[in-house]
Amino acid sequence: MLVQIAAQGLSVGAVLALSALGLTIVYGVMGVVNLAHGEFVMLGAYAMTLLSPLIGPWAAIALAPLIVGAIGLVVDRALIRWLYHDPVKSMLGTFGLAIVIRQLVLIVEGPQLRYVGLPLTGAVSLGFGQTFPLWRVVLIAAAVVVGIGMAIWLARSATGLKVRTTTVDADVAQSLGMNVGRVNALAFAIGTGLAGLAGALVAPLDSVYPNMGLSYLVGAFLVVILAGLGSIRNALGWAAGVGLLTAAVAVPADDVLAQVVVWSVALAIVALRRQPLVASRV
Amino acid sequence: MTSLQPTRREVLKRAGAAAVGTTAVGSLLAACGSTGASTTTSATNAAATTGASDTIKVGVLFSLSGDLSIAETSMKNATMLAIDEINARGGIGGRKIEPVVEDYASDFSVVVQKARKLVNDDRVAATIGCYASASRKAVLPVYEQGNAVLLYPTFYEGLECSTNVIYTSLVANQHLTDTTNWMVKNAGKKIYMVGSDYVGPQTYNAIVKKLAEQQGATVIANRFFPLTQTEFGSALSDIKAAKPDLIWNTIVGAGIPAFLKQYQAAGFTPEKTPIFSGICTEQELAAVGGAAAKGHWFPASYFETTRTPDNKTFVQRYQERYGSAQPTNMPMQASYTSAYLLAAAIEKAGEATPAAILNAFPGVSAHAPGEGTVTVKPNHHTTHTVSLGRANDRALYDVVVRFAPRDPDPFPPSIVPASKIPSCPRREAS
Amino acid sequence: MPARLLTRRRSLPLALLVLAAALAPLVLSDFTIGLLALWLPFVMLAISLDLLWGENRIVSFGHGAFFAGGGYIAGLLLRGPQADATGVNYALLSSGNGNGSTFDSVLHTLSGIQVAGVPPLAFALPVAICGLVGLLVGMAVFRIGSVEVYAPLVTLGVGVIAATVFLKLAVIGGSNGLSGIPPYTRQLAGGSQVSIYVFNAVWLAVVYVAYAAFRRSRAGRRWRAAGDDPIRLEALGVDVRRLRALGFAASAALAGLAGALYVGASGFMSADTAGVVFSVQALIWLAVGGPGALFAPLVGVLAIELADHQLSERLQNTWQLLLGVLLIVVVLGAPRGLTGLAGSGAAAVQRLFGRAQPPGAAS
Repeated sequence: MLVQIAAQGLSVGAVLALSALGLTIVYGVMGVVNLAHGEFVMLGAYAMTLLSPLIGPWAAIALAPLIVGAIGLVVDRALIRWLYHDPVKSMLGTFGLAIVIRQLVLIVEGPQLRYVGLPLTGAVSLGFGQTFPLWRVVLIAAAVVVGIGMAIWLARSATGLKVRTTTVDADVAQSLGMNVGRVNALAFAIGTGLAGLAGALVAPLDSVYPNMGLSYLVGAFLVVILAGLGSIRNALGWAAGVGLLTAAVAVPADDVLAQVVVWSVALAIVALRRQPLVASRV
Repeated sequence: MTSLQPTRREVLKRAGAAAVGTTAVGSLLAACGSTGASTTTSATNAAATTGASDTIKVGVLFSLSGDLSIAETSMKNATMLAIDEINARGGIGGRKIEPVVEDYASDFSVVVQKARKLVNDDRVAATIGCYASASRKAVLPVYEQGNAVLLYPTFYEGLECSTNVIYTSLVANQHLTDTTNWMVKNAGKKIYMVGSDYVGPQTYNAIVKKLAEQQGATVIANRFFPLTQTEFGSALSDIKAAKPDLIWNTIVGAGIPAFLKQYQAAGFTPEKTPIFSGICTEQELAAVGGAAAKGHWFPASYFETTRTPDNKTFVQRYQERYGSAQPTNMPMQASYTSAYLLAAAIEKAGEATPAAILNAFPGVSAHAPGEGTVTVKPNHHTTHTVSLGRANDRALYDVVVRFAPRDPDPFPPSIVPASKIPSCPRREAS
Repeated sequence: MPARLLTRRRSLPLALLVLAAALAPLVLSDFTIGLLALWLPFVMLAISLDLLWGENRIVSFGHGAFFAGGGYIAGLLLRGPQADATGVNYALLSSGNGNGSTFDSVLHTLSGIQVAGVPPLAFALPVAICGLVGLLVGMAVFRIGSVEVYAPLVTLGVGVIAATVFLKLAVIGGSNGLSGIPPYTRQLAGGSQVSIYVFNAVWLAVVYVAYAAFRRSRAGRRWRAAGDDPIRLEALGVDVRRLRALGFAASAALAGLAGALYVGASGFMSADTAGVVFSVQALIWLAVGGPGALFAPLVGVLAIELADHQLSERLQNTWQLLLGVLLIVVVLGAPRGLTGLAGSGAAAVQRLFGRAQPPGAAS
């Protein structure tokens, strides 16, 4: 059973990680708490679901984050850039955005649940006669690859350097000649693109409908509360932790209990901490 | 920091603004509340105003927006179809039905307000409405205190029989008794139960558990999930380890496609581990897709695939009006039939006052398309014939077994301890 | 700042407001009065949020939990134990007598304490319990570095847990919600819609006067200072963390009171009220009103709920869309909400007529 718990936990953690990554990058670079994050996950899921019958599931999964990232770029220039570095304003503004995105999808696509099939059926063997769905392995692999890829990109590439500099001090970055506006837009596009990727990967397993974003938002926030905003490594680690704890309670017992336990433990950890893990803004 | 004395001009300006503001607010309110003179809420509808007018007002109370709208919009459509048909043939005793449609937006606080509006303000003769048990429970006090009539067209768990409600769809003993017996005999004795975490599924599971155990089966687990949950990996891992003969499933709404897809991904097949659902009509199945749905079971008093002429007409008329991609299902058929039951009751009573209608209901019958005659019993529930269907690759159910008609009993003695069975119908404690 | 609550500038609009409120039952239908009676506790909830947000830049995404909690407690006390088991659904299936009987007898005793048919515990208990829970949450939240960022996230979590727990508790009806709650005025005035309206209006007026007085008091100024410049205040020897925790507790208690009044009018409370959606709705009321302005809660609630009542039937999903757009517009263009706009509007009109407005003479 332990193997099942571990596998299931990592699978849940993978989705959480992909969502939380986007949220944490956006906050780290431009100080915006993006409450519309779940809606971008939903957009990714819809993109994948609608494109899959046309171009096949794999192409749809590849294309979805690009589409959602492009939407994110537009949204950043239109709305988000007025909300930089103001937590309260950004929370309210992005919540309004969330409502708008959700309702637009509802009006255009209708409330019905959508269906898209699994690109990969079948299972892997975990030993002891236990199996684990192949697609969930894909999820875990994707989270790991994306996480490591992001970390390397940030550490090694020129643009990554610009992003890190802007995260630490936007004014300094600007005085060094970096185009901070462009960096911000890029960061938001990446953040939303990651959310879109999470949605595209999850669509074959999940139910796709306009209101699906809320639970992804809540999950991402759980990780972020624990990991602190702005650190990728922490986000990945805590995502795995939350996933494992959820599975540890849910597999033997009950998913409702798991939800209550996980949130209570998270709040307790946060309450007992002397200071935040990561120095945040203000 | 002293404030300057306001000039008279300033005061007048502010007063003017305030007056305009208040008048605007007041007239907006008055405009939306302008449905006749004020009345007290607890007045009985005895000498109703419906007697003199030439239409009969009927409330139609469903969620047309929000999460529940997926299920309920089609119920409202079916009700409107029936009402239009009744009006087309001349109405009831020469009087046409005037539907008063209210959307409670999947919000159980709003449903109470809308019910109050229908009962106290619009003074409808009766209301057809509600889907989830929570919405029915929420409005029950409104209908009982106002001595009004609610026709409830959704299958439900029973353990209730209000004087002011006519339950026009299946109650648990009809829905589950023969199904459970068949299930245990034909699929196996080791049962794993899953469901959404609220009263309907909980009661359904508890009833099936009792019935199954009486047949010698064992229920190895009974798991519930939050309503918004779409991640079932943990439960499926546990099911894998437990190796049951069948899964009894009362997950509702958005969870259903996710559960069936993840079930498939985990390597389960309907031949070895069939799923018997308590709450999965054609509407829910449409979102799952034929490939994942095929081979699973659902008992109901109505299936779209039933090939009787009256059902073909019903499906055809519905799809002509509302779109050919729309499946028809049991709650829709029950909503449709409710309008006809109501018409029959009003004809029998000779007048369209709620009290008279309530008295007239026991014994009233109507024809339910694809099912047969449906009769209201003295306990305010209706007789039905239940069949067991198996999903095909078009995400519709094919009928496999047809059970004998069963009388409704919201407090079946095999399930409820004798000391707790009340007499039916009865008022809830108010 | 003027020490008096009733400034010259204010007294006329205030008088008109009171007059309108008093005349309303004579002009409007029973159904509309019933709606107003429901909205007044919303205003009280918005005030509780304003205490945190307008005065101290703390945004709570979990006040629905306190509102619902207060409503449940009051509802239980108002209704008393359910005499008849018919409504208790599947608990009937167990052969035991039900372990709710001790709870029932305690409830029976507590709800029996009444003054003219109104159980005073229905106000005292929600305030006390919500205040206590609020204090615990406040002490937890304000240990963390950036209050502005973490308060919303943690309160979001509190709301999620509360909603889940409420759903599971059979004593408050679980997923069915608590229904059949009678109004407070059932003995006093037969429980008519008008009497409920008056009851809630009086409570709201009391709270408003108290709130206005608080804002002008020394305690109020200290509270505002904790939001404007906590570091300096801490340097002056004030334990800002403790102050904020207490403030959060007071806000939670007020939200609980609002919930208690709400159930008397609605007759019903459900677990989703504790969730995020309703909490954000409350924030929208305040955002539209303009956090920080005294009458913002009233203006915000009335504006949104009136519009909702008129438009949501006709527009349905589009109405929700408009609400989202409205929120964005308010956040970007009118951070002080409608009251801010009215203020700037009045100032603009005065400038047109050539009268300059002295600085700092805000109303």
